[in-house]
Amino acid sequence: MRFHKTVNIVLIIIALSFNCVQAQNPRKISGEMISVSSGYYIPLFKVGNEPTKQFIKQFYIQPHLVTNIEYLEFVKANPEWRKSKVKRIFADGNYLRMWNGDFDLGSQVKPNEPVTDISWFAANAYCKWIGMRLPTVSEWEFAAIKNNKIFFQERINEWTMDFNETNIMASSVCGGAGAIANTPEDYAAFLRYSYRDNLKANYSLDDLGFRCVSDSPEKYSQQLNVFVVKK
Amino acid sequence: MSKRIVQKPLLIVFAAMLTIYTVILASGCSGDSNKIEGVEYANLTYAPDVPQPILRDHPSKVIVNLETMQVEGRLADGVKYNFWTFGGKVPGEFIRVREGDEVEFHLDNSPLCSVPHSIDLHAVSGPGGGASASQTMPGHSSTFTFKADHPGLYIYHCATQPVPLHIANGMYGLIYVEPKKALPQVDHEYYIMQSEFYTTGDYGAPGLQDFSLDKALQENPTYVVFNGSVGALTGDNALQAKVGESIRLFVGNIGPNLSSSFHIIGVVFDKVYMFGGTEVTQKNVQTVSIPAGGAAIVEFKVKVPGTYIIVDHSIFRAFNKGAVGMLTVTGAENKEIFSGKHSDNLFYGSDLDKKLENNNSDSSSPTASTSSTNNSPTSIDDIVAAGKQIFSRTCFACHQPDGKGVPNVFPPLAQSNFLNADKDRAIGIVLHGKTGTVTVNKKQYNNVMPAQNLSDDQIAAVLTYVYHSFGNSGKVVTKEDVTKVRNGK
Repeated sequence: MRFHKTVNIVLIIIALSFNCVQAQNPRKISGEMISVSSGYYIPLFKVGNEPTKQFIKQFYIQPHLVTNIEYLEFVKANPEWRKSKVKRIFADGNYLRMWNGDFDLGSQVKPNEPVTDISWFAANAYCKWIGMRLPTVSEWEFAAIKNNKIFFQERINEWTMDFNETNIMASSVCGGAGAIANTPEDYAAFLRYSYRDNLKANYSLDDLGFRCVSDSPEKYSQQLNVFVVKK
Repeated sequence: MSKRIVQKPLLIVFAAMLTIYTVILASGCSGDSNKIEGVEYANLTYAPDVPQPILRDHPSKVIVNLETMQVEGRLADGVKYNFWTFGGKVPGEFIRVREGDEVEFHLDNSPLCSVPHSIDLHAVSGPGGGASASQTMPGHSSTFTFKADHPGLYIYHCATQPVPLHIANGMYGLIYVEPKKALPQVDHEYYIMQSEFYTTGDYGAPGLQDFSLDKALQENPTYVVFNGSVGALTGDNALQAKVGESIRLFVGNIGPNLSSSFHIIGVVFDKVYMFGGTEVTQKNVQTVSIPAGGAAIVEFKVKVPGTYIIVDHSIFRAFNKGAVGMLTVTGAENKEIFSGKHSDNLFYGSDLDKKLENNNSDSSSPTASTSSTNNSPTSIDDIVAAGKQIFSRTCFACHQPDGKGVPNVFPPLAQSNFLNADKDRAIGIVLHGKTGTVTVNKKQYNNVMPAQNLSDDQIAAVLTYVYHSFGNSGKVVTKEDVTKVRNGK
């Protein structure tokens, strides 16, 4: 009930914000934040002697990946994330490589499609800027299992806060990875984990985007307000 | 104190010997060098080709560039698959280096790939065989170096999680580390890789096929193939040689699940380097066992012209899953080695047959018929019944009991435009066999049907049965028709 009320507030704020940004044709930023209620999650990998089940606290996750037009607003407000200014240790040479310039998406990039070619540092900074954070691997997997239509339809991989902490290659080469998995038949999960494992935080890749999460809807709505004001 | 005095002259002698030895080494009297000299790029080839032998008498620095790519390609006629590859094809490019070489390996992952890739070379001594050092995201390139310290033939494959999927999708090839003392020269060297594919659709099911995890877990492949697809080594793609030539095959088996019983019909391997090692482990071998993730080198000479069928002698895989290749040998016949068929005579049964016949006098089998005047049945129904029996002994294994054949491998007889169009042609094929491309019901087949060892009566009966079955035209083939074709009239 409390959540519904908050959603309404968010909707109102977004409705108001539309007046300001309509010219840039943004997609709806939210209104449908997905509430992921708390529960137990069985991670792909066993972790030492810890119990296999992991408790995930309730959180709220964006229903869509951050788009180019949304990211453009972030770049405008934060000059250090401009294509021409970003430091190589924070984003490699492919950062926003499809964009024509600092504020020019060019003809190949569609405003309402997920922004890709952004590094972990960039994604992390964006989420902070809107008062949110990146999801953890466990949160992302947990949310994806519950809402797989929303999470797997775009065929874009997503940054997570602790993307390379499992390091399955280091712990087990070849067939060994199956032995330390809770669900060795979940090949799709293996693909995601090995993808994450091989990332470095400054990599910018064509099929890698992100979305943000928040621990409470109130916080999100508050910060979104700030976001809207910035626009 | 006294000890030291005694030792001094000994030391001088030792030093002198060392100097002499060094001089010998420097003057090059010690045989071929172990010192790395020069830099070169490895020459890579796609199957069935093998790079030229390495003629150097010293090790070099060798640079290998291999690109991982994900490409849609042909798995069988009308069947497509999204292959993950080394170099754009399955199997990956053949790498040839020399024992002692320092190999600088560059693994480039195409920006168009969806997942990271890597390489585990079984020739590498070190954790993961290069796997951890070569984990590479799309649009990135990794470099590592290894010493080719173990000569022999080795598998390489992708080792990114989930490894079984990367292998099942086509990521494997062979690397040959040529021994310092190279193997004897031969006329032909070829590269053959056996592997399995697990598809959601059945064998031959058309269209783009997805990977089936269920079948892979059950180790029940839809396809078992040589060089990446059904027909990659048959028809126009058959290996070629001339009578009298020597052949060396570098054969790998990646599995991912099955062991191979590698065999060439009509060939005895003169020498086998079991498991791809450097010693001749056996001479005169019929079938070589190659484990998943293993290899073998076989050598033989071809003495008689013809088509030799390469199979995994776990024979259902060859018949029904695609594990068939061909070696075409041209040149003069050698009747001393192999005569061909001398003659075809009537056979009225052995004494044993007669005993069985007496015990079972009401038998209606045409082969057990006691008719003294004529062995052949008379009414059309009898002929069709007799033909059916011949069919189910001789023809059904390839053409299938329902006459529908095996997609892409054996053409159908059922409602076959090819069969119904020409009776004499059909008789000729049963008599003499057929090799090469035929188009049946708009589909191409390229395989070998051997000449059938049947009498004119039997051929007439079996063809009449076929024409009266499976929705065919209902023609009657008589003994006289067959005799006419046999005599070439």
